[in-house]
Amino acid sequence: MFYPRIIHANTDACTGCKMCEMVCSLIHSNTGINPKHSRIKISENIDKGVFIPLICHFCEDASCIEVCPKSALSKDKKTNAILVDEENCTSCGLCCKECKYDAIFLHPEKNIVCVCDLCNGRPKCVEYCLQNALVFEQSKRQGSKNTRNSD
Amino acid sequence: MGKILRVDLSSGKIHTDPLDDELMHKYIGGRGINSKLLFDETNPETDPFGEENRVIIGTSPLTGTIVPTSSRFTITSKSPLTGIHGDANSGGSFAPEIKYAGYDFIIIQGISEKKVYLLIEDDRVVIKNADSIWGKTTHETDRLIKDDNKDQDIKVLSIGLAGENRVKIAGIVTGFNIAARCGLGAVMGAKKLKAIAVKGTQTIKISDSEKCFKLIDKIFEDYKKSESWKWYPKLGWTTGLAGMASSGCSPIKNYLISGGQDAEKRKCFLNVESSPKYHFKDIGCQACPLACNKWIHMPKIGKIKAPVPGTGHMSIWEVYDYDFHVEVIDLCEKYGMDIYSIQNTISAAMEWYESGIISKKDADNLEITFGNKNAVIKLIHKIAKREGFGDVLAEGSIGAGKILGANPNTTPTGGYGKGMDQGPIDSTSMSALTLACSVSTRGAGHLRCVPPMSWGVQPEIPEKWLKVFKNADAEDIIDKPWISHPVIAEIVTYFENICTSSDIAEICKNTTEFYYFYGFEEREIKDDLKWHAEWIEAVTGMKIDRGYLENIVKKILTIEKSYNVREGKLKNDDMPVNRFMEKRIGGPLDGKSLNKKEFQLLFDTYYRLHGWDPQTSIPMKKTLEELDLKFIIEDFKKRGISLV
Repeated sequence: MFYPRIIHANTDACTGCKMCEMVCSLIHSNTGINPKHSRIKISENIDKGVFIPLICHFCEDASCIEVCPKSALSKDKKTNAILVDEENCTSCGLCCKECKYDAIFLHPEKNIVCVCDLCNGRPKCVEYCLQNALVFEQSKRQGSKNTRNSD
Repeated sequence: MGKILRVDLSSGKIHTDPLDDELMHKYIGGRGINSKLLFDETNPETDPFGEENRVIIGTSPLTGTIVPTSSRFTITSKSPLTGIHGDANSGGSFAPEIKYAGYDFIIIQGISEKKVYLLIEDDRVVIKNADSIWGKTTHETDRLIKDDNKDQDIKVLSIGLAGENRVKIAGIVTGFNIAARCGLGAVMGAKKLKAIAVKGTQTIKISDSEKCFKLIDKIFEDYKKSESWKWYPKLGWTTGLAGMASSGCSPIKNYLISGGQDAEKRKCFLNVESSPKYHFKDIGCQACPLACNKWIHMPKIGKIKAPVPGTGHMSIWEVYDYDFHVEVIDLCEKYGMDIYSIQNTISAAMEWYESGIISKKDADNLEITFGNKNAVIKLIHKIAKREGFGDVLAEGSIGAGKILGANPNTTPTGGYGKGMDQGPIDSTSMSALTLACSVSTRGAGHLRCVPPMSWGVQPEIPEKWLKVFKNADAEDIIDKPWISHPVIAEIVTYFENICTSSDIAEICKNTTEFYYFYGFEEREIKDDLKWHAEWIEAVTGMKIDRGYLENIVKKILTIEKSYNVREGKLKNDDMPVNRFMEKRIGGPLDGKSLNKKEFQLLFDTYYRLHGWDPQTSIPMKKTLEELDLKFIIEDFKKRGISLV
């Protein structure tokens, strides 16, 4: 079993250009581009002048899946990404509150949540980062429970 | 259909107009549409500081998309510095946000009774009180607007103290970028408009995303193959500066000493990018892979933006001190001032002081001598505040020179008669550089069309350009920048096309042949107008090829030229001062000078290539007809401006 991660390979490498955010929003949207619709978010630490990507960690025992009252979230058996059942999701937002990484959030247009789906195993954000700040890894490492309430 | 947001600060009325298809098909967007709107909505009777002047903020159909470097915008107004067409261009992430909010253009007119800022959040557009941010630096204003509205995603465009005080060389800042030239910050200040803040949640549709991705894949491939990709984003500043200095176009002591003779002193700038002292960190405008901007860390100041290559000429003040350099740039950005004009204005003041045109008393007891860093800092504060002698210098180098009755040679620039300096660029005995800076339609400067070989940074010329020289039987002049062969006007026009097209598409010139000449191996086949046309077609679905775009480029240049003709600026006003015609003494071009007669003929060739009358530079009637600019013929007829 391989466990995927999109990691920030190098803190210095991200220049905040948002190419990843725009590409993500275009691939997933029916309407077009806006970085706010992206499943990867680049957060800026203004004081330090550093950019940190915020993205799903594809947790092995994902708390978002556990906490969903409608069982609308599940794992994609092939990619290990989180899948959203759009029919059952009511956008109650519990998973959003539960996620330690702010990776799952309310869809800006539809009444559901959205989260990185790894673009079927070939993440576009990684492909279009010319700075090589993002790397798609598939490790044999098993993930761990990651919620706000643990640690 | 696109939208134009119109705001009248006098009445408080806000409304949107549709961006009609005809405007788009005729002028595409960005600087293209801006220039047409300025021509239509202002005129010789318009006071740049009055109600009727416009602040036109223009994006293009590509802005806010995944097209690389598609984050630029142009601000256009009648310039208070020059009284002619004024525009300034900038990057960052402000322009995409305008598109996300659902607008393509923002046009502001009127004068507000109170100090205000404009807040745009999709359909909600509000004029807000700016009392609490008036007087704040541009950086503080950015932070305060975000905090007050409890939204860190808001993008802010603002003026500093300089714009508020109507300093005629005030610019407009957004993030780490500045739309610096032509004194447009003063126009906002006169309108009591402190800032424009935008946030948008809408999306930009792409007509053919598959094609779009293919084009991006290709250009990314080209970048990765290119030698310059490896070092330009990292060392652009140092290397660019070194190249310019060694070619002789980095000025020394207000152009009194021939450039290219200060290599020893410039050693302090070598390898600043790799120095552990500053912790250089690449930052990029939205959608840009080049990341040519940098954060650095300075003792006492903290995190600050590193100077961009074009600002590295404090040799004009005879100062060679990187830390001081950074401090000056930071001050100018906080106050919102054009560092190019600040350099020329203060260096002129130094010459005036040392030659006795102004006394110590005139200079508020400051010793404004070359090399005096303290005086520079004090003057920057004074100019921003219009205090004492700063009030005179706030008129810009040429304006201040006229007030003092100084010889135009003390404020060296091409296009002197148009009223804006070309920035710290020593174009003495360089025909292409002097011509290009002189003919710029917004007043002198290099961003309209300077041919890259002028900077002298590259050891060899690509085959594509060599052919142009060969066809003109001018191969032997390639390494002789002081020669004024007519082919130079062709070369200048070629790069002018690229720059204008970039401004219409609102794409960064860094990725075009204009700048990316250090070693972009694909330049033999690189055709920027073709690229721009392909992107525009892929994003909008509009049927457009490079010929169509080239025609629009010609239209825009002729509209801008006509605007200036209407203000009474003709051929004489395009001329450079005599200092650039003098012989160089020392340096790489020692003993060389322009042949005045041959150089003058270059202008004639340039005007002819544009379909403008070589006697006056006024666009010819036939040209206006061919370019579908009959509205200019009618306007000139009304004003009694005769056409040939």
